[in-house]
Amino acid sequence: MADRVQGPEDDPDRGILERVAQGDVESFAVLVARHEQRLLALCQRMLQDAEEARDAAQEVLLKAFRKAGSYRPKGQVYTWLYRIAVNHCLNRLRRRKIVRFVSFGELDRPGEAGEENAPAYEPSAEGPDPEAQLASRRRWRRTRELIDQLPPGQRNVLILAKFEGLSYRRIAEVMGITESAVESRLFRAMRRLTEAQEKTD
Amino acid sequence: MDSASEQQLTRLLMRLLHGELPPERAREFERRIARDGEVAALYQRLRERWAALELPPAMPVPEGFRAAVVAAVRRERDGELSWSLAPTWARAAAAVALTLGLILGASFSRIGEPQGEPEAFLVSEPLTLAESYWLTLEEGGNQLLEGGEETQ
Repeated sequence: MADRVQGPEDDPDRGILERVAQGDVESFAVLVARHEQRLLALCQRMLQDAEEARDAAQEVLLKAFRKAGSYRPKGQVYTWLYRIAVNHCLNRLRRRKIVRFVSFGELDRPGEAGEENAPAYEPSAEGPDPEAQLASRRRWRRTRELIDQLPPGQRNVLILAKFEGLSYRRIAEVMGITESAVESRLFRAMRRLTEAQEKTD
Repeated sequence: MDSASEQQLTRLLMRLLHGELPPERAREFERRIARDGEVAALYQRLRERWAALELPPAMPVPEGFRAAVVAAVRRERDGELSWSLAPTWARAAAAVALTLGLILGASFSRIGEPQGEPEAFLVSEPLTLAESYWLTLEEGGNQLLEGGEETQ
């Protein structure tokens, strides 16, 4: 999982971001092209809703444009973008929780969705075999349910490690915590997931 | 193995699983796994649990996504504020200003209102077509009974 660690000085995005900070929209388009896929994937995994993820990723990129001038190169630009995305998604999740509380829990939780309330994007998997596809969908739903039960801090670390493939060091940079905190959160997340799995098995 | 040392071992095995151990330490652990069945079983369980976490592949970038983001940025740069994409604080400030405006507007509109006979300002509900029809009939009927002229 450990990715190759680069310093800010050999980051190809740094020059692009400097031009973006001066209001260069063409450079911004280049930055979007380089990171849209990863940011969309991150938002989708954090929010577990394709439609909301698209809005969130768009907002994240707009925030990046606005904040480009205040970027201080401590790590990679994509780490900085990830940090904006993680915080933005966390805020959206908090807001969603408040809305759910206000509406007395009437809204569907994506993780608790039944067959008819599946998230907007759930591609077919493992070829044309319907049984294999169904099995994949079940595993995906199960993982969503399990991840949904985790506290936000553990959930984010797990998503960044497992599904984004970030190293402990990168996760620490994105989340603004220490590497040992990353390790602890991952350990606790896995313990909770194991307990939850054992309860249902 | 007591609970604390199992915890410590699990953390290290997770680091090994995630490729986070320095090469020398990783080799040392792999040797330990090869000779210790208990450690090997623990490592196997961790690997299985980690592998069992599956989510669907990420969605492809929706068509027009980049163009929409770049267009929004261009609008913003050119000074055209897109409220749907405006920062939260700006939208909140606008909402507060609008609310204050409505409250102040409502307060000012009361100045100069007549103080007495508030019922005079009560507006009756508009009549439906059927109600108007029956009312006309009744009025006509009353006038006929009272010997007046028939209303048209």
